[in-house]
Amino acid sequence: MTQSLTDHIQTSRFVVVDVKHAEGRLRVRGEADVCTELACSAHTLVVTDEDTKAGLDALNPGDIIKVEPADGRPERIVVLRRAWDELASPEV
Amino acid sequence: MSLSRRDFLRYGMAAASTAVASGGIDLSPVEAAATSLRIKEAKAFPGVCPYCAVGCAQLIYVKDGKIVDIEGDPDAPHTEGALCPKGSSTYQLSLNERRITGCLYRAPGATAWEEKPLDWMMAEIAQRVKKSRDATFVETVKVGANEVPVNRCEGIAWLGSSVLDNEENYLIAKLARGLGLVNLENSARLCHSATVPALGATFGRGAMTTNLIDVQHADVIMPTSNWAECHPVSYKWVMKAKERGAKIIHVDPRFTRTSATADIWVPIRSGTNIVFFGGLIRYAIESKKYFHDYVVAYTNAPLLLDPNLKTPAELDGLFSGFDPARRSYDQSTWKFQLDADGYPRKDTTLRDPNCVFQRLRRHYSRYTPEMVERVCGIPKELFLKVADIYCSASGPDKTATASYALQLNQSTNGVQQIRALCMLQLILGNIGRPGGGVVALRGHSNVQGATDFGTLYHMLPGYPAEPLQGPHPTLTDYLEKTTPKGGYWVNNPKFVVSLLKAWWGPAATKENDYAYDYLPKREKADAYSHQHFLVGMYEKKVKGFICMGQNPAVDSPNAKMARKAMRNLEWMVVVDLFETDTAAVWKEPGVDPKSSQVEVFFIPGAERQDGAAGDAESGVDGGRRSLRDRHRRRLEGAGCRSEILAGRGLLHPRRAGRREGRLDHQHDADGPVAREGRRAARRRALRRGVHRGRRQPRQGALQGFQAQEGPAGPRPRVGLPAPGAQEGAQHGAGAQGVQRLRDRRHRGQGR
Repeated sequence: MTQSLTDHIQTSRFVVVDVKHAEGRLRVRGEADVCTELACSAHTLVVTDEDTKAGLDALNPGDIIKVEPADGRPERIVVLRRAWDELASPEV
Repeated sequence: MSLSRRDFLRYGMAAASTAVASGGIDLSPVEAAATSLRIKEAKAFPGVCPYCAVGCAQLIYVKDGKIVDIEGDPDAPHTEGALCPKGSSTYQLSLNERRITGCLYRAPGATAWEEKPLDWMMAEIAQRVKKSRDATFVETVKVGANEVPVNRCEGIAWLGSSVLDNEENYLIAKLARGLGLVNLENSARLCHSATVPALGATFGRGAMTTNLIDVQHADVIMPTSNWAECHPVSYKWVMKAKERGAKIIHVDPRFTRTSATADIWVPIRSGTNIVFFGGLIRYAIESKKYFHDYVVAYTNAPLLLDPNLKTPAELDGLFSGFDPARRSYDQSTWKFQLDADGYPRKDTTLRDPNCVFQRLRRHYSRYTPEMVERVCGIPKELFLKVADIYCSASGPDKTATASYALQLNQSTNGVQQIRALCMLQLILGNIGRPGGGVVALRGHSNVQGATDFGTLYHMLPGYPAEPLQGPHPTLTDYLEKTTPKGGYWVNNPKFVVSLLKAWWGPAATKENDYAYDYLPKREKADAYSHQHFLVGMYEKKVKGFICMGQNPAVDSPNAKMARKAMRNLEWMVVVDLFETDTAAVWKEPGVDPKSSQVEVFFIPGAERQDGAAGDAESGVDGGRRSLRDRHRRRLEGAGCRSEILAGRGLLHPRRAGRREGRLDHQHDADGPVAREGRRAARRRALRRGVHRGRRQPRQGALQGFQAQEGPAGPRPRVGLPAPGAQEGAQHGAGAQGVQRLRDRRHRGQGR
């Protein structure tokens, strides 16, 4: 069955649960409430509204992200919504 | 039989005397005589009073095409037939001899109005709109390395109004966006603007949490405005509560009629309500009068905040993350502690120093009775007495209601004041329970509807955000960034796509992202509001202005600047009942008319009792939005036209000329705008059948209003029928016929 746009938007985004800077790992929660750990490299780019930087420093638990993989590793992590935007959302 | 007022009194007195003389009082002959007065043989139409937000239901009696009487509708649950003096005077508003019934034109530099035919006006206005739009339209802008289509026109501003109907506001929102206008507002921006973020962030949506009828169940009621005089008909529910033994505490600098009905009047220094509410919060917490079980189960009080988050109590008025150089916050500490699965951690004992409850307690610890006395001017003893009464109305078997109006909204810290009141009600467990609530007494009868239908620059009808050029260049970007991960608004993509389909019709396809590019994209979030576009007029960046049912020459902040700004315009369209200060801005006292080159088109508007449409109210029906219909009346000789028709006729391609496919398509006779008018008529016909219970719709007639799973999922809650929907099919031909007749009639009036 074709996935609807609404479902696609939900399944393609993850919630950051934990950022393990030393290990370069990112724990995220997906649509099915299942957590996954992603291994990132020092070259992984994190794209925010403000800028684009290598490394996981710009990520916070609670942020909503989209992962654009390459060769099985997250190459670009796009921050779609910040944790505080999500908390401020009146419907949550 | 015709009966004069004098006859009525004479017969009435005679009948009463006879009845009394015969040993009993029988007034039935008097009542019979009364019913044969001017409303005899008149047809009654339901209506809604145009004044305050109580939205009193009216019965409008029409005979021979003229309103002969207006009275309260006894079937209305929240007013029970009552009207206040303002509501009773709407008869005089409708038939006011000072109402302007013909179109007026003021040429640039002219010293007087000229009368002009409506068709001439509409053609001229369409040309001005097209000229200004062509001159200021921005199709694309460079964002980074990409060329982003923005389709934005900043040279025209449109001001709707909360006294316009839902249908009128929806059409304005649609037409303005179709033209690419981003300067779009209604009077809600100046009215309860602070209510929306305060109530929205606290309760999930920016409308009052209860309904007016439910106030009768409260044990304590705390009005902070002059409720008895400003929203008089609804005050009956306060008085009913008082009859049950409820206490009324009126907090107001002035002693008013509300104070006269109260058990306690609390005089307060103007603008200091936030300290008073803070004092109540502290009192409730420290005296343990808060509703513990409710707070743990139904609020975020047990959630644990990031330990690095510092609050103004700890940082001398600032939250953590403030950058003085940029004068903005780094919000990375503004979050909850998450567990291993990514959900906020809780302490249901409410003892963890980082739980929301303890943070709240620490924040409000300085709001002592002494501070309240010092700041608010309320004697400590009086404050403690009031705090004890109000906070005692908490727990499983008691509730309290608090109300406010514009006095909190139009304070410099309005959002914070209302938010403090909301938090007080939450810790006392006064939300979502009988007699409890935050009663936001609005100013106009359709603030809710005007806001719901999106005549505000920052949001589309139904509350999706108006896109921004930077973060939202494509539909996917827009949806990914504006859709939350949880809650009702995960359906945001459905709402947006359905809206795009309804607006652009067959031009919206999956392949072209449902013509998302047609939507105007804002340059930045903080722009285009009422104040912004007045500054734009002042600086001559905004060339044209359409103003319907509002009077910015008087009601704007810095009204003198607003009037100067409007005199700088190239052209202005005013649709109203009377010659308002806005319409006459070029000839205000002390101004030489020749000094202003603004070209003014005045179109007489239809008064609310003249037309048919719906209002959305949040205070009538259990805190839910309640649609109120006003039935169609046809008044002869008024010469005025509904704003919805003014809007529809404004930019017909035959008048405006064709420039590009987008405009052509929208305003073709069979284009979305024209179709929307016909659909609105069908929807009204259906709603009448459903809501009034007088004409039941035939089986299946409402199918089009049910959620339809299609490529884009169910339609949005704004209730727009998807193209080709079955809705109204059985009523369609007749309703379309009525609509065409009405269009012809209105077009004919101008000739």
